[in-house]
Amino acid sequence: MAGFWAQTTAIVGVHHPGHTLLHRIPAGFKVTGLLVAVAVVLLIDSPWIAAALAGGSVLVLVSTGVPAATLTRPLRAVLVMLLALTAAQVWLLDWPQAVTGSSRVLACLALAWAVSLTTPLTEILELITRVLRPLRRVRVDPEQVALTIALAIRSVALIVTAVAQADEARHARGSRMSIRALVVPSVVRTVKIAEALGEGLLARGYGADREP
Amino acid sequence: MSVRFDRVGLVRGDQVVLDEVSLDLAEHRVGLIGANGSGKSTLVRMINGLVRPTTGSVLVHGVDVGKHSGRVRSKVGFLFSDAEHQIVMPTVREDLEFSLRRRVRSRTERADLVTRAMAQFGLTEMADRPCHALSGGEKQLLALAAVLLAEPDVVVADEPTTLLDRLNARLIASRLAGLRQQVLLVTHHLDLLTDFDRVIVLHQGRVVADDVPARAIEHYTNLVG
Repeated sequence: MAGFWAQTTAIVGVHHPGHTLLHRIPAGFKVTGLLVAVAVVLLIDSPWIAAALAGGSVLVLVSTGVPAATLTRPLRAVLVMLLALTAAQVWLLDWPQAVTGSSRVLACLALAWAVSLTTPLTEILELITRVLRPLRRVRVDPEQVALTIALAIRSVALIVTAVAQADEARHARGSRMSIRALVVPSVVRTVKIAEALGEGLLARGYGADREP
Repeated sequence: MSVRFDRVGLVRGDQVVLDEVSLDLAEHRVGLIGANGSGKSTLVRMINGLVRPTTGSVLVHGVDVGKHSGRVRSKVGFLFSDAEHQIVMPTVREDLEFSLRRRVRSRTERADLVTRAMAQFGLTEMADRPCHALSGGEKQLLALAAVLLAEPDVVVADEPTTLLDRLNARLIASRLAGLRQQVLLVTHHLDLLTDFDRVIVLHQGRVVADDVPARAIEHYTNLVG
């Protein structure tokens, strides 16, 4: 079970160094390109074109040069999710809409993942800080927004760890099927982790400029 | 640099956590020992305002933490038992750079400082590895390197070796001992304190011994049996 949890975190926010074309493109261009591509994908109605775009997005992902093992494990989890999504859409809607919907999700995920793999988070934070700088006039602190995004990404891994630990404890106690035995400790652990992370940030000087 | 506790007390509900603790810590390396619940972690958390005393005051280099916790925090580096909680960014290099984001504006300068810190702490090989994939010892090394990049005057380490094996505990302890900054180490690993300048024993929220390591440790071992 721990492996499953590890797969879910592997897709989130981890930069993979390299020298491919995508690695060399500046973060600003990549994020703009991603936004444009997502808009195009969402506007497409044809299942064939949507499926082709999904295939193309997967090729973009492969072009990052990241080892296949790194990509296939999380992709497997994504594909399971997509199969369930497609089945639900076929049942509720029809085949063409199911293919279009699932292709859109796959394309967006693959492109976002490709950007995330080829761009250090620090560069994305720099970009956010730069883009939001004009908002200082209306008292929005770009540094705080960037920090919030970094924390959101970090929290995914920490929450998954909390759930994995609670799940292991549930198995160790033999209460495999109890949802309560998973949810309650997961929530308690998550709150504790959030508290500790807050302390950690204060200890690293973030929030140091805020007097009580 | 000195840390001063002036009649510091803390009450939680009807439990007295710290009872009028007064200490003036000016030595380079100071150890704090005591049984679980003796108040040592609470006491050191007051140094950068993570915990506020009910009575009394804490001064770092003459600055009152209660009134200027922001100013003090930028001068006090803190290491927790579980390094995981102070690692924010996904990879080693990025997490070290995170420590410099506010202090150093130039990206090139930041990259240089990070490269130097990684070399100094033996982290170069794992620069682009995900932080969650590091071992406990590597995570604690990363946390220490990140703390030091912020150039603190005091490093407070709250049981930083508790989750580590003996080898990694020794490694972290030797790194701490070699720092030019004042080091306040809370630990249950008594052997790490033998070369320290001063060791304080806390028991039930009070200072019961304050001496050179050998005598303070002897007092503590007699106390807990």
